[in-house]
Amino acid sequence: MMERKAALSAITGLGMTEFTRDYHKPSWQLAVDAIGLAIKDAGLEHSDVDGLLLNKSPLAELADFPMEMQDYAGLSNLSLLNVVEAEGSSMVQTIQQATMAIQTGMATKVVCVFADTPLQGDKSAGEAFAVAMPMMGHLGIEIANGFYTPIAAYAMAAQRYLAVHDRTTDDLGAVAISNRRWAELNDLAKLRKPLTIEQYCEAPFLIEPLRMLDCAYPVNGGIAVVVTGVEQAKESPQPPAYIYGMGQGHAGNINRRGHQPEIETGAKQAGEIAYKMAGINASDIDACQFYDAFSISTLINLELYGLCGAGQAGEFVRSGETSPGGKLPVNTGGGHLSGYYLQGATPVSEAVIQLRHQAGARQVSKLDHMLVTGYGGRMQFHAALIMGQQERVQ
Amino acid sequence: MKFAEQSVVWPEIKEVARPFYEGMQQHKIMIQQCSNCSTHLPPAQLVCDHCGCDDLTWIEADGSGEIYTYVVYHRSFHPAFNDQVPYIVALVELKEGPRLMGQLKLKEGQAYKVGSTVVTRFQKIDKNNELLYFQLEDGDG
Repeated sequence: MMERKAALSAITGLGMTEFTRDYHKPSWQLAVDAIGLAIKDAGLEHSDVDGLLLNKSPLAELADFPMEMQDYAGLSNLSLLNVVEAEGSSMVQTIQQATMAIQTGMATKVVCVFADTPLQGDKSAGEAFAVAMPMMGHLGIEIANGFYTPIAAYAMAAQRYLAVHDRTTDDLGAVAISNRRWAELNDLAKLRKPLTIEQYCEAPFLIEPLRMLDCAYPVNGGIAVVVTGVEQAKESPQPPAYIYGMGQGHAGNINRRGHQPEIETGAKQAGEIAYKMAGINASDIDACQFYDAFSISTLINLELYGLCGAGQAGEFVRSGETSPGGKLPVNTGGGHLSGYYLQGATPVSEAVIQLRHQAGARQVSKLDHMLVTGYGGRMQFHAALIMGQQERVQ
Repeated sequence: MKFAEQSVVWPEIKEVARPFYEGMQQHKIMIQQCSNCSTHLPPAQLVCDHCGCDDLTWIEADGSGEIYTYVVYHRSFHPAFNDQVPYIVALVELKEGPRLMGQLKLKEGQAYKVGSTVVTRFQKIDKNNELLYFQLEDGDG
């Protein structure tokens, strides 16, 4: 039995703007709104906040989400300020950096914020995301081959996974269905119509082996959280969502024999470090909020975070274990696929809602340890948190 | 979709990758090799990921390999590829170890899967540029 560690920090404020498919205002303005909502939710004033960590969308220019966000949000008392750029792992990384700053005394109340507006009037989601994914490093040969959109990079990973483990796209469909079952219970989720495996299989391929139903559902919106020390959290009007462990894993993008960046990712390392810090094993995890821009990543993450054997995640998901009522609830708000795609902020927001016991019909009862993850790039950047409801004083 | 009309897409070639593109013009597949540990590296690296050595030399690869993974585009995401849908983009693990990306062009009725053996071919895609593609080993050139 490992020694369970006391909490390192807590999320005490959560701010979420409306999530829309139409365009109302720019990302920075959504961020300002989310920051204000989070500070209020935490029972704080703007003048209390001494840290601001900005999670810029990889789709946005730095000028769209600059350090000056401090001024836009009316925060003039900061001892910590940075733009964290680690692609889809950024939001979890902002919370990790906030926790480290709080632990070392550099800051005490840190706001972490993400906002994005991929849908802008005449620009469709497909167009916004139709950039080439840099898989081959400096070679840059992707575009000459018509290798456009991140979907393709994850389709490469999916095909490799299915071939290595001799599985079919039914495993991917099982993930889409599990997410949809949770979304049916979530008023915030965007895709809530029941989904069957027959409907999934009838849907055309977009980039085989992925269908539209395997891809995240983009929205415009902003999400912010307030991270504080454990003592400070006791004054919070909301139940604190504690953080016990944190880890990162970046296994690189090595395209040669002996490496499989598609399916042997840094998630394993991120999980091992986070579990050890929290004093737990993978078997202690009660629920997961995975970053799931594509269905395939949930299968791979279930395995690499030690929750399923290699190649067994599809069966595990199909058996209902990750769905409502299952023994390991996963992406309990519908995730990115059926809920809302606000990159790493989606799993963080759902984690806080669940840990506060404010999830209504989709509330998970036992939540001693929740795994919350982010990943980015072609899945080579990973960050993880272990969260829970108790302070666990030592 | 409102992309600019464009018939051929060609990357802006980085200096570190130039030997690879010059090789393609001569129908050669150029990869790199570490002069310290002899590891074969995919183009275009500055440092060997195996031993950290920065003395890498360009060598010609055999050009044959196996399909490591692939995708099939059932929809075009760029007008230059509208006429090609459906098309296959494969990652091929060359005999020497590095993996390269290229389209897999099939003859009618050919079956393929992860692990199928392929060879490299080249096609002139505009007046200045040759681009590699893959064919199943038993396909004629």
